[in-house]
Amino acid sequence: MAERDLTRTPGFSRQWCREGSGRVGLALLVVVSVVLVSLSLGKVVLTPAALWAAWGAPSTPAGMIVTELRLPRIVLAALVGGALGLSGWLLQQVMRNPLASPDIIGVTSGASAAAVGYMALLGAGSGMQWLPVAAVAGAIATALGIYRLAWQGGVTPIRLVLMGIGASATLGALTMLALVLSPLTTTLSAYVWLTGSVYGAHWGTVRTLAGCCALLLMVLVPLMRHVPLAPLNDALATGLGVRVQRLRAMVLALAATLAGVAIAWGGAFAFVGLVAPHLARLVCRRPGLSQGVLAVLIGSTLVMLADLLGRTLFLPLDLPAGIFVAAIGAPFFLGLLLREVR
Amino acid sequence: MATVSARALTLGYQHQRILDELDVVLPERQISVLVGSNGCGKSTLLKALARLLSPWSGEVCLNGVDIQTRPTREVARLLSLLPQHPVAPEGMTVRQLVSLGRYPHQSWINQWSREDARQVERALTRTGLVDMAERGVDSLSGGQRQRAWIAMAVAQDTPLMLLDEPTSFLDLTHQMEVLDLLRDLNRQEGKTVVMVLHDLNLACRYADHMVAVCRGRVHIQGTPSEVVTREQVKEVFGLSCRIIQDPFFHTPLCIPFGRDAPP
Repeated sequence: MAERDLTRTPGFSRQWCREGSGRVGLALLVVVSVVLVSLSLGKVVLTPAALWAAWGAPSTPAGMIVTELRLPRIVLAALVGGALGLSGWLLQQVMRNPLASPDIIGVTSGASAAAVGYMALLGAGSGMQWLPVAAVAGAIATALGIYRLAWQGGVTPIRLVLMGIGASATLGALTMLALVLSPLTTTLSAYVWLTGSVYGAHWGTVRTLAGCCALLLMVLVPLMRHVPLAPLNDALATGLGVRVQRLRAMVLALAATLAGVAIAWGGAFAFVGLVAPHLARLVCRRPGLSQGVLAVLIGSTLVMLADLLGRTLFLPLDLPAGIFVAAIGAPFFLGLLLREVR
Repeated sequence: MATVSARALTLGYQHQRILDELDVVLPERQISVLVGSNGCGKSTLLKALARLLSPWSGEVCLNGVDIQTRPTREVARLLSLLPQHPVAPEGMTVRQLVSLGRYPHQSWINQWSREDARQVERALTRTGLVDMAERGVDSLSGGQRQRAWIAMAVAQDTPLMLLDEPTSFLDLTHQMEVLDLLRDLNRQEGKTVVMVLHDLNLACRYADHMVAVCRGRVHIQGTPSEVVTREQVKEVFGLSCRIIQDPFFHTPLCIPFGRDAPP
């Protein structure tokens, strides 16, 4: 069978796409190289030999920089980017819309409104450890609200998208209002949060986010078998025995939560959830599991690269990675659109 | 083995009633064709038979059991459906598309059994798509694409196949090709085929059993020569015509008059 591999033992069988697996391998190599480069660059530049030495001796100054400052930040960037990429890929599958992303279904705007509202009420500084909780709650509440608004004895993707756009606009206005009414110090930290930043990441944050992502992946794995049927029309999918509405609701809930937790701990990164799945499709045209994995790896790479640029390009300034996500992502996206038009 | 039937079936969209206490039994191992004018409810009937729409009252029975009460996966192993305007995911190859037909037979641990592989190869062979298996569905011509969709239904390996206008938007050659393929599946594998067709003459050629739907009810059913008569075409389609016998295949042949007066 061309370009397909099999795993088949009694009672277990899988089909693998050789092309897709190869591309995933390549993407992993890219991720590892970006991690290594990010570990070496910064205010203190480390040669590969110095990096290796620092890795072996975490209590030296160089070791502290690598294991306590740079690595948690890189891992957080990778987790945030990967979760947003996966969320966007799932949404584009289930909404059958290439423009679907966590931004469109209101997850980003919901989390933003909740986070900025929280900051405005409490003032920057006190109780900030609960900010992620507020953001996740905002994301999930908004996604639920949009689902409820779109419900007419079942939901259709186009109604979800339209309701999402409406809700996003409303919440965007509320966020702006909260920003304008807040004192200047709050506004500033809210702005950094809204741009998306992994500045000051530490292992505690990384562990929490990694735990959330692992839990969500455990829910996703048994669902993955059904996801390739989500892009079919409802009639076809039902004919094949898919419980269409149930699958749609579960994938939506999962994608919203995934993006919600990523945004809660990394800030409102725009664009990653939209562009990463598109780039994944460009790398591997065949739909399937490898496309989803590629969306994760590409999302991770985008945010890691953006953070690398943010903290090295304008030294000694350390700029939020979110600025550079758009700076790298947008040209890619435009190039992609031009390619499709041709 | 699978038989599908409707009993006192009433349903519609919003407040508009489309089917009105309709009763029909579709004979096993035969090709049944639903005919009728636009908006008469024949597509709605097919959708209801495929459990896409739930009845307001009455029921659709699959092997004597109400189809709405059976798990949808179980139904998908007995009944396959090709709706109008099917859409393939972007970038999907023919083989991937046909493989989706195996979904109702798979489980989380077994996602590609020997039987799955065998059925997909068989479906590709039956529909003459082996050489195109690695091509993208988007790159196929209309006729080839329709064969790919039918191949997906063949791979689903169900005794009963429902098709909603499988020949629409195809030229005459490809219409014949699709209908010949469906007849082969019926004659050689004993599949029960139920489809909606618009072309009355092609319907007469390929149908064993014909069901004329009019105003939400079955107006008349039987063999094509029982159903397609001058009076009944007038009643069902509101069309003046003359019926002659096809000189080669001896099935009824309808010559529509339209505005032209009969000579």
